Amino acid sequence: MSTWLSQLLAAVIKETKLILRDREALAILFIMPSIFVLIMSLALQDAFREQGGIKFEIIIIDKDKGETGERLTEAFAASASFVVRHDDELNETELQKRVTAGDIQFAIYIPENSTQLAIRRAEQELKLSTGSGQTRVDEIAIRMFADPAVRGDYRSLVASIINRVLQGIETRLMLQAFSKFRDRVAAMSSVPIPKPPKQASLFAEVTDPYLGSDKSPSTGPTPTSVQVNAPGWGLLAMFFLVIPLASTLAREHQEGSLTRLQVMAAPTSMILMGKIVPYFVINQIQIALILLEGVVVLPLLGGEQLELGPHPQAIAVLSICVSLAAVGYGLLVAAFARTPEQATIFGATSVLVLAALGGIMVPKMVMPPAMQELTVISPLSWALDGYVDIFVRGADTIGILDKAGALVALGAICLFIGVQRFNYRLRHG
Amino acid sequence: MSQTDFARTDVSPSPMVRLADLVKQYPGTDRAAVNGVSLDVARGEFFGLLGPNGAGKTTLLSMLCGLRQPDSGRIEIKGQDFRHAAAAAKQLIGLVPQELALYQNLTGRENLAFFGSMQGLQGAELNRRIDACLDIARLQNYSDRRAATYSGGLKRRLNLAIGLLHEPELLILDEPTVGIDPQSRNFIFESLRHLNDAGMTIVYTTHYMEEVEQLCHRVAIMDQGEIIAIGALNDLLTGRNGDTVHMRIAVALATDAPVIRALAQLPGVRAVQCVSQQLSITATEPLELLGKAMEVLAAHGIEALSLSVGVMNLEQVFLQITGTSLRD
Repeated sequence: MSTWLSQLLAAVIKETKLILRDREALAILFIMPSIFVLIMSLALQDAFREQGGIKFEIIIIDKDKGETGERLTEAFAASASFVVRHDDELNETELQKRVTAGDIQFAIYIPENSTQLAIRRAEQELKLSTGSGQTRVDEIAIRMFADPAVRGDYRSLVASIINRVLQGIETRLMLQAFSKFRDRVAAMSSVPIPKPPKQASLFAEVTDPYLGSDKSPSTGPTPTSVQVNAPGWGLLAMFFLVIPLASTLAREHQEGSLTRLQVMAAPTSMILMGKIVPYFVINQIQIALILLEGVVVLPLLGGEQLELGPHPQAIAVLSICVSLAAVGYGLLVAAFARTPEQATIFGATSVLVLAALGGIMVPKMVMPPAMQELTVISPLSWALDGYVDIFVRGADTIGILDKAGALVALGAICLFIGVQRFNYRLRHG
Repeated sequence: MSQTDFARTDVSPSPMVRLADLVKQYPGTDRAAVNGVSLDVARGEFFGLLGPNGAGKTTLLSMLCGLRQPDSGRIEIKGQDFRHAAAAAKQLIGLVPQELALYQNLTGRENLAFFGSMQGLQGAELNRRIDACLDIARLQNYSDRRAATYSGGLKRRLNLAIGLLHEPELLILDEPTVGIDPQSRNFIFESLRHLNDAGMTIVYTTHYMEEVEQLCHRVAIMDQGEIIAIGALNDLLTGRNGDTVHMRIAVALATDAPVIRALAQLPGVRAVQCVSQQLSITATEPLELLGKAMEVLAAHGIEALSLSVGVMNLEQVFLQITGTSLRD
């Protein structure tokens, strides 16, 4: 066996033994997240079904610039549950992409000339009712887009509000058309005044885009409690490796083991690889156990079963990227912490803050919009979004590459700074 | 005789260690931690480095082990410039640091296996060296117990054993007996003597005079970053002008007490020290001094309870050179 491999193996074995013999570290890395997943998944099961008091953002793309857009804006703005934004630059394709990616929760697309076409269709409907019309204008299709991760009943609610508004417009346009027609007919004494027409359909009915279709690849398009909590608390546990990693490295520095290794001319890369490899493997075991718990254990306790989605390989890719970020962050903290106490306190606090910001402790969907914007600064949020994309939106590896790439980039930056700092400390004490 | 003269004339022409005008100053400090240190350590020598805390011993050792770069000066190990052959030089060095540089949750054998592997040992050779080191440190019966369960003395022995794993030619020990019982200390001394007898060069730093007196062939005394005396132990102890009058007196005296000042002004007196009720006066002719010293004490109303006259020990040598106690 080459010296390099023999040294790496010795370092990995040493670190693995130290971890396995550290009961507190094992409790933090394995038992704590398992308990949290069980408790939080069961406790929040109903909360994920009843999303009361939540505000959704709805974007209206009004290419029509007529009454239809005005009425829809008024209707949603009047509801405390919606924040309305306009963005007329988006086209339908971009809109579909962003909604599917979860960037936008709801959107309404009003095509050009919708109101004018509705007026013409009202007039034609009236003529048809008197037997004088020939051709018809098709029903006007107002498009609704919805994030598949938003609960189905909320999607239906939005669809019903749109339909109610459109029906109001239809009624008004039909009466307006009838009034004009009646005035014209009244001027001609030979023609009998027609009766008011029955309600005609001017707009196509708007429905939840995922209802009755196969558009959502997951068994259910709405994330369940366990689909958020299992990866969420698993991520917390994965990032919590910063505590044992940083504190053992700080202790080795403090107690002189690192000095001894330096005198032995052991390469710095070997010392660090000896730590990175075992913690990387531990991370993979952590997330596998947490997901297994969601799939197998939780249903036995009366909870919902964790649905993993159709692309398990994407879970593996994302988990590897999360580990790289977590190990990199751990090494960064380790390189700056001067004592095991500093490493533990700063490591734990920083991970808890990132978890709170990342929607692990409080689901993102119940956060106010401003807080939801803030979640973007937490790598735990990127990772959680990635898992939800896989579980709920059925994303494959390509679908989560942006999040995975960001995690790898973060890990690489942390590793680079950590190694520089570590080398500096070894040289200067 | 200057310290450089000692270094050049007392040792073998092909030293294990040669330090030439080493200087190291840490950023933000107004004084060099090591200031122009030059010395040689011969092959097979048991060399003591003595000095109070903050004297610069640890910085000097750090540079000798390649842990820190000197600002200027040169380090040679067996004639090789450390800067150009650091890896080869490190292979010759075994370090036993002051801290217990081992893993408490690994067994003694696992600690040795890890550190041995990191030094490039593997397979049968690694196992042979582990057994040999366990034997030297007499840890065979404890080798499968975790280090955390060891007594302070056993941990020190394991600390020593790790430093011996790769059979270094130069063993550097930094305060290796801190906080251990006399029995373990004696065991470590015995082991070190055996290793030195077998040809290993040893550099031993401590601030315990008695350890240096028991172990070392030559001693360098360091203070404020400089070597203030260097030479064979006997030369240092007998080469000073004067022996010492030790008196036990009825009261303890402050360093600046009038009686201390009066004693220091007596002819031939080199140094006066009073620790607790033990008064030590170093003088060229102590017997002649005795009567005058008793008169001074009587004039200040101080009664001498007992007295003795003897040669200086290292503590007194240090006091004579620096004017301060080693443990100040």
